[in-house]
Parts: sequence; structure tokens; C-alpha cells
Amino acid sequence: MSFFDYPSETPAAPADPVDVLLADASDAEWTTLLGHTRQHRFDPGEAVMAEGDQDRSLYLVLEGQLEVLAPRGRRGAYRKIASVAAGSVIGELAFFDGGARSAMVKAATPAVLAEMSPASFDALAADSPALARQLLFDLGRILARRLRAAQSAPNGGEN
Amino acid sequence: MAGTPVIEIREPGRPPRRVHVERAIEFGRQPAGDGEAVVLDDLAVSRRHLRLVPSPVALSMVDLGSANGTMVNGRRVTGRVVLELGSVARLGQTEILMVGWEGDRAPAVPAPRSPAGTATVAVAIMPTPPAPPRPPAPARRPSPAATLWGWLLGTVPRAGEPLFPAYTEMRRRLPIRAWHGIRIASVVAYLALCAGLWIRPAGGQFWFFKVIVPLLPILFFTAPGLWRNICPLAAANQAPRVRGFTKALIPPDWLRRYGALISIFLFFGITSTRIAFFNASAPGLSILLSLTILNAFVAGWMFKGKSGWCSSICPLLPLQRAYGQTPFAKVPNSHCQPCVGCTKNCYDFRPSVAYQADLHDPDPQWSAPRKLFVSALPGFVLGFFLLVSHPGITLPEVYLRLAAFFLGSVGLFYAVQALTGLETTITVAVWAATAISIFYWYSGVTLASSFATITGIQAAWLAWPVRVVVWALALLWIARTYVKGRQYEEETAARPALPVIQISPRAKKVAQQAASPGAEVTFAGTGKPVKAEVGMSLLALAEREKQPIEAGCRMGVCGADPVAIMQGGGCLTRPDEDEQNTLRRLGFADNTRMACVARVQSGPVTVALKPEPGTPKASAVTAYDRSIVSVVVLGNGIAGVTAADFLRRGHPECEIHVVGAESHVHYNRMGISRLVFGRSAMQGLYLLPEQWYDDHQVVAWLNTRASRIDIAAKQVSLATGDTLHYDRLILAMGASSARPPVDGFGRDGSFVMRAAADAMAIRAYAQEHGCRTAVVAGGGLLGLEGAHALHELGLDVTVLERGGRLMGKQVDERCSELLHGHLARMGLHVEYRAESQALAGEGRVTGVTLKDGRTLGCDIFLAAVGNRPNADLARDAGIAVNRGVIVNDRMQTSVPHVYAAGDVAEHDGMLLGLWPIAAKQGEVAAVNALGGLAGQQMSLTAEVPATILTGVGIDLFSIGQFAAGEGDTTIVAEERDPYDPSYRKLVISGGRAVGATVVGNDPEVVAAATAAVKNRAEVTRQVLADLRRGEWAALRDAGRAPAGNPA
Repeated sequence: MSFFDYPSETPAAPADPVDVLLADASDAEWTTLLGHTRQHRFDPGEAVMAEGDQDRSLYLVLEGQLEVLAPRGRRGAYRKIASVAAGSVIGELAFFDGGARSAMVKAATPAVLAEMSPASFDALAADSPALARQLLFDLGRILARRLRAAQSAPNGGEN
Repeated sequence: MAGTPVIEIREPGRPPRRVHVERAIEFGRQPAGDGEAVVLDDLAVSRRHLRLVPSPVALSMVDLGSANGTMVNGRRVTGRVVLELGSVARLGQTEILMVGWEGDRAPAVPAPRSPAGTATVAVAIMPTPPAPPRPPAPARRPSPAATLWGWLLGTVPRAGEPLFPAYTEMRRRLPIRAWHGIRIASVVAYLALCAGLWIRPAGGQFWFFKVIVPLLPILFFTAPGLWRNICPLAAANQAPRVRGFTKALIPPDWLRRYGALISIFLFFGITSTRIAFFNASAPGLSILLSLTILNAFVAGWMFKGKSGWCSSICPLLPLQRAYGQTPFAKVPNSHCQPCVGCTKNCYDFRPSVAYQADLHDPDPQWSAPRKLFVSALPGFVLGFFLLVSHPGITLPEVYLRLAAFFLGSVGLFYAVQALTGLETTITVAVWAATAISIFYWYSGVTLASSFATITGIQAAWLAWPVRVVVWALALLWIARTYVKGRQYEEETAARPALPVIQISPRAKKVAQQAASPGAEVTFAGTGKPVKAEVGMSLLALAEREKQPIEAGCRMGVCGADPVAIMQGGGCLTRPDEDEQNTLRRLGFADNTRMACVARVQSGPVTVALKPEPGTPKASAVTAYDRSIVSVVVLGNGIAGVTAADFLRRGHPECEIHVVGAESHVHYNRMGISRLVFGRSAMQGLYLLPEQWYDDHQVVAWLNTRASRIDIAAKQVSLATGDTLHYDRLILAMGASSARPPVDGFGRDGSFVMRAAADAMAIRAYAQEHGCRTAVVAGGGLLGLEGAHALHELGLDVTVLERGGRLMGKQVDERCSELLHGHLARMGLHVEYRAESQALAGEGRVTGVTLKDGRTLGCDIFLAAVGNRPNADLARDAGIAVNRGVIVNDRMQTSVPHVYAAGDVAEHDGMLLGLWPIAAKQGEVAAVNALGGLAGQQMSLTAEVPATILTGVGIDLFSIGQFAAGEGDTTIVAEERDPYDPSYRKLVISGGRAVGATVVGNDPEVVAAATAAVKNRAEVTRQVLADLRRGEWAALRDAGRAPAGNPA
């Protein structure tokens, strides 16, 4: 939602198909993939990750809402900078580069996340290489699109 | 959904572009054809490759026999295909995306929820204290100082309004008609000024430069919405739209892109020219003003909504946006009825955030000109007033000197930003406040002298109060703008800045299925099984899968949704008694189920949406009263038809006459609102085939009125002159809409909506007279259905509710609030404590006067103020009638052999007017009329009334008690997402479920709650604990075991 969803507008197309991870994967493939993840339940307020953490897991938000918090001021207060809904992926940057987590993420509602650690990804790659390749390829494609968008934004779409 | 389909074309090497498909378009390397053409420079594309053809309901695509073909969503197509929302067609390296519909109707669906939605979910569990009527939560009272502070800074939204309300969500104080009057006056005044400048140049210049111009900025500053409503240019701009002759074109790209720059250029250009030219030349000023209003008018005639002038290139727009960003007084826009979504970040749509949204826009081409304007303003104003007193200065000199001031001001702005790191919104606010302070430093003097000229009172000191007030307001305004900027950031922070990666919804489904095994259901014809959650009804599943299916009562009674179970019937819940009766009445094959109540328990199941014809069965009835030769049923609604059905079942020989005043065979009365806005007329509403009457040897007298009942002679006279003898008579005449006690009701344009003919008449009338506005009296179920239907038809609808909330008799206050919020967002207006007194208009309705004296303009007045049983015939015959025909538990009236059922019958002092109950009563009346079952008279068992509201974009269900009484407990769970509200409430009394309310599409909870409340299920401590954890499935198990006797 934005502030300017005019009532006369029909819903825009759902998520741009190219931004969806594994849009074409079948139920069976998802079952395989999720079989290689560990599911975690979070209660509201429980931290999923804190900034500075070094773990490299990729998380799929299956249920619930998360909030992304950034430190604000010197007294250790946090400010909400984004919220993440069910059906999103978080932690994809650290999954690739191993860098520290850039923000604190907490559950805003009861949430269920599927965690894919580098080790479980290796297991998936051994088990069904095609699916793992597709996963990596999709993540890469989406990150590339983001990069492209970031590059082209300042001068109005030239690239 | 009506409107223009919008596609996005993505070609290699070019930025994507959006195209409104208003006419057929041909795509190719050398497209020919008579319509529009899109030339693609791609060798893999044929010369004439494909054609897109729009219609109001679909966008069709046809491949013109191209060499390399066209793929839609990855599949090669042949022949015509419909491009659904979100489809991608690929030809060569070019992609065509179907991205949406743009039209002048609000969509039937609620506002979309973006994939990375902003919903925040809160589960609230509140045991009601055992105190009687629970007062609204006594919130901690803030101290008066805090309240005052909050009010001054605008930190607290007005009661009942969101933080940044859209104009549809604000309280409307003046009716549209009054605004029209004011606008006509303002245009007349404007034209008078233009003329006056020729006749009395000095006078005209005085009024324009010394009165109007000095007053406008303070108006923009304090109540910008007022000016947006009364501006004569806006009135001229919107006149073509109000009169319906605008071409409503989409403005060209350059206008959308450079509109802000054009308006800024015009503003500074005209103002500078004033010093050396317009100040001296009254004719010049008159010509300028005349051209301006002409321009506004032409722009309104050409372009859609306000996109041609008011919201794009009006020279005063940059001022209004900058100064109107934190209004002290909000006045909702009354031009846009309805909103057509014509501009980006529309100021009139959501005034308090439009400018913030501009400044935060990620596209610098959008935000930079707006910053530039404000950054230049203080210097420009100062320069203007320093130069204006120099007589004899030449025009080029004016421009040059002003340019220096302009650049100085801009430079200072960016220097301050660079040095202090102040946020843009704050710098902008400070610059704007400075500019207005400078303006009134000088204009205070002007106003004081104008005051002296007009009144003759010399009061040069007046300049000071003007200056001080403006400075004080300016300081307060900066603070308010700062607070609002913070709030805006808080609110928008909820939106991810970068696109978050989405996983396909399949993942969630799979994960859930791993936890709770679902079932597979296949709809015949699609060939693809779909997953259904356990407990889901086939109707809900079919609707989710967009299968063509009708829905009626959703309780298995009306018979709107029979389906054939081709396979796996045992995987569904067993039919209950209501459903069995309906199935028997419909008489389809044995594998038929009512989709709304057949719930999936396991799989796999295969369902065909078309039921199979049944084989006539030899009647099993052996004993029946042969003395009964003729039974007459007055009424062809659900009670009458059910009665006829049971009569035939219980008596294979007697004549059965069904007399119906309407000209249709039995139809789904609950679906008639669709006749107002849908194009499919009666199709799908008929619940029985015409053949049914013949098959059951029932004589149907359609379009026939009964005129008299003669009890002594046992005869019913028909108005056609025929006479029907009866041995048994069943009265099922139903009810009519109550005529409201409104003077002039009955005039053309005033309607009720009870029968199919009423609904079709409304649609016909609205088209014939080009109706634009409607008032619906009554905020109950029928009123809201009517209001929604009229809204869908494209009318601007206001609902009048006598009480303080919507559907007050069926749902609790929170539900009413959710409902109100939903309707307000759709653009419906609701007036509370409003009762209509009289209809205005000669011959045709033009408006309605309320009891409090207000008048609302409307072309259609729809009354939905309750029902009145059609009991006159019975009363005249001497049958005991109170409000309805009085019946006992056996549906007997005061006269032997005469029974009554349905909406005409008053049972236990109650007139419930509900389908399932009417059906049950029809059955009881018929069985007892024939002497009962096995000599045993049948009695009506108590029913728990339920209310269902669907089809208005929000699902609302309530059964039994909705408010807690003394000592009762309530369990409430709510997800506070304004765009997809979900709310559940269970009322528990004496440890048993006695009432439930569900908002949101949650069929499983509805089913569980219905069963629990119907059986007055015991809510054990375990169940209570589950419910409090949000696990409402627990209710299903509680509802399954009926505990104790139903009350």
C-alpha cells in the first residue's frame, strides 16, 4: 500500500514475475527445498537476527510479519525502518558474502521462518543439484536487477 | 470492472513504456491495419505480428500468423487469447505485460495488498469483565496541556480519521450542491473582475492586487482545501467533467513530466512581469486573467480529472502544495466524485502527505523542481517587494535583478543544507515560512491601506497584528511540519525501500501442508488438482480458484450452487438436514451436493460445476389423505416453493397451485443487487429450471396476483378473474420493502430493492437519466448491498443511517467500524443520525432533505428501511394478523386449513426474514397441511438467526448474540490491516458459545463458529485456552458434539 492508491485504480499486477524466487518450482520441489531447511517459530518481539551477527543463513518468511530495526541515537534505542511480510526472503546478502548483518530483525507477530544455512544449502545441492542451481540463479538474477536499478535510478533510467 | 487496459511494452534497448489500449493496436515490424500500430525494430518479429483488442471486460490478443510465434506466459499461442492481469506476452525479444486497468470506476475488489504488504498483525485477547455494559475502554486521559500541545502540533489525528486521511475519509461539512453554488459565484466574480478591469481599471486593479493577492497566501497557508474547492479556475476546469462533456484524455508524457517546471516558470514569469507591466496595465491584466481561465477550461475539457490544469500546470499549484502541506484546517476536496486517479501524489486526494511524498520521491526529476521552487521563494519575494516600489524600471532590468535574488535564495538554501545537514523537509519548511513572513511584512501594510480605502478608517497599525500573527503561525507551522515529517517517515518506514525478494506463494502452501495435510480437489474441465485446506467448503474453493459458480445463502438452503461430485464423495462432510432438503427439492442426480456446505475433509475429490439431471423416482408415499384434492400456495419465493415441494412429496395426487406475483420462476433474491451493476441480468439467478414445475405437477401462475381469499367458500380469487378452489391454503406471499415516511417518495428516481424487477428498474433508470449520485436510506444489510451495487454502477453514493453505526442490529461496534472504514475507502459516504424527510425535485428526484434540515443532492433515492409482510390479503379475509400473519409452532393460522410460512408469517412475535428459516417454515407448513408425518404434526424448532454480508468487498458473518451480556466472556482476535481486516469474536455465556462474529474471508472459522453457536457448544477450559492462543479450529471440535438442549 502507498498513500496514493487511488480508488479508481485496479490492482496492479501482482509481484513482477521476474522478482519472485523460484516462481516455477513445483510443490514437490518446494517440499524438497523446505526439507533442507530448519523451521523456527518466533514470538512477537523475539529477535531473528541482530546487527553485527556473523551467521550466513538465508531465511524464508513463511508466516507472520517481521520488523527491521536500526539503531538510533546513543542510548541503544532502535527505530523501525521497514517491515517484512510473509512470503519474503531475508538475509540474502550475508548468505553470499558472509558479511555482518546490517540491521536487527525482530518478529512483529508470531512468525515462522525457514532457515537455510550454507551447510544445508550444500546438502540441497548434493540432493537435487538442479533445484539448488535454480535457487542460486534466481537469487543472483534478482540481486543483479536490484543493482541495475540502483545504478540507473539517479539519471532517470539510462543504463 | 470497466475501463482501459494498460500494458507495459519492454523492448530491448529502450526503457519500458506504458500504453493505454483504448483501441485495437497492431504490433510488428511494419504493422498495417486500420487502428493504432506499434513498430518494433526486432528481426524476430514478423511484419504484422499480433493484434491487441480491448473491450470493457477483457484484453484479447491474436497472433496474426507470425513466423516465430507469440508466447504467453511461456506457452505458444494460437488464435485468440485473453491477456489476464499479470500475463506476459513475448514476441521476439519484446515483452508485453498486462499491468492493469485504468478506468473511471472503482474496482469491486478492495485495495490491493502489495506483496510486501504493510499489515501489522495484533492478536488481542480480552476477557470481558463481568460488569454490565462495557464502556469503551477508559483510556488514560492525557493532561490538558498535553492535549493542547498535541492539538497544536497535530500529533493526534482527528477522532475517526487516519493520520493522513484521504478526502474520502474526511468529514464532509457541506453537500456537493452547496459547493457547486459557491463555485458558480466564484466564477461569476472572476469574470466580473476581468470585465471590471476594462470598465473601472483602477477599481479592478485595487481589488485584485491590494485585496485578493495579499489574502490568497494566508488562505493557502491555513485552509488550503477551502481554496481548492472554491477556486474559480478549478471550477472552470472541472465544469466539463461535471457536465459530462470532457474528453478525459490521459495527458501526454511531457506534461506529466514537466508539469511542475511549467507551473513554476509560469508563476515566476507572471509575477516578475507584474512589476513592470501588469501593475500599470489593467487591460493587460484582464487579458491575462481571461486567458488563464480559458486555459483552465480547455484543459478540463481535454484531460482527465484535474490532470490538465489544477494538478499539473496551474501557476498557483506549487504555492498551494508547499504551503498547504500542513494545513491548519482540512477541507475535503469535493470536485473529484469519484476519484479517477489522474495524477501522481495527488494533493486533493491526500492533502497532508502529498508534498512529503513529492520531496521523498526517489525520482530526482520529480522532487528537484519542487525543492527549487521553495528554495527560491524567500529571495524572490524580497526582491519583488524591493523592486515594485521603483517606478520606471524596465522589464529586462526587472528580470535580471529578480534572477539575482532568485539565485541568491537558492544558493543559500543549498549552502545551509550542505553546512548543517538539515533534512530537506525542514529546510523547505523554514524557507517557505520565511517567504510568507517576508510577504506579510510588506503586504501587512498593503492590507492596512486597503482596509482604510474600503472602510474609510485609517489604521496603519493594522500592519503589525497581521505580521505578528503570520510569524506566529509560521513558527507553529514549521513545528507542525517537522512533526508531520517524522510521522510520514514512521509510516513509510513500514514500506521496504528496496524490493524484497519474494518467494512464490507455493512455498508457504507447501510448508503449511506439511504441518496440516490438506486434500486435493479437481474441478472437472480444468484437469488440474488444487489443494484445499481441510474444512474448506467447495464453494469457497471454487471462488478461490475463480471457477464460475453462483452463491446464495451459503447455508445449503437456497439451492444456488449445486455441484456434481464425480469422485470422492466420501471425502466430504455428510449433508445435514437442510442440505438434504434442498437437494431433494432440486431433484438432481444422487451425486449432487450444495457447494457452500460440502466441506473437504480428505481427498482426492473431483467436482463438476454442472449437476447431473436426476431420474424421476417412484414416490414412496403410500398413505396420504385422498380427501385433499387441491392445495393453493400463494407465493413463489423460497417458502412457497419449498412448501410446494413438500406437498408433492407427501401427496402424489393433489393439485398444487403456486401463485406468484413476479414474472420469474423461483430465483435467488439474495443475489439481485448484481442486477444493478452486472451485465448478465437474470442469468444465474434462477434457482429452479422452468421444467421443475411440470416435473412436479405444480401449476405455476406467474405474473399473477391473488385478489381475495374467501374462507367460507375455500376459494382464492385471482385478479385475472380465475378462481382457485382449495382444500388447504398456504400463505407465503413474503414481504415488501417498507415505504419510508418520506414526502414525495414514489416520484421517478425513488426506489426500493426487493424484487428482481426493482433492481433492473434502477439500472435502467440510471442509464436513461445519466444518474451520477444516489442516496441510500438505511445502513442495514440491504441498504449496504444496494449502496455497493449503485457504487459499482459508477454513482457517487451516500448512505443515511438513522443510528450511530452500520448494521447496528446484526454486528458489534468494532465490526461497524471496520465496515465503515472499508466503505469509506471505497468512496462511499455514510451520514449517521441522518433521517430523510422529503424528496426534492419536480417530477424526478433531484435531492433529499434530511430531518436536521440539510439537503443532499441525488439522482436516485433508494429506500432500504425494512420490510413489511404482505399480509393485507389475509387481514381482509379475516385471518388473525398482527404485523404478519400470526402462526403457531405448526405454522397454522387462526383459520383451519390455512397455513402461513416465510416472511409473511409472524412466529413467536418475530419476523426474521431469513432464507433458511423461511425454507424450514415452508416445509413445516406443507407437512402439517397434509396431516403431518405419520399422523404426527411437525413443529418448528428454534433457529439461531445468522447474518452474512458478502459481495461488497468485505466478508462479514454474524450468528446469535453479538454483544456480551452480564457475566459473559468474549474472545476477540483481530489483525489490524486496514486493507484486509480480519476480526473474530466469540461470545460465551454460562460456558457455552452463544454468538460469533467473523470479518474477513475465513470459511473454516465461520463453519466452526456456526456449528458451535447452533449447538450451544460447551466451551471447556481447554477450548478456551486454544481460542486464546488464536487456534479457532478448537471450536470445530467443540461444535461437533452438541452439548445440552438447544434453547
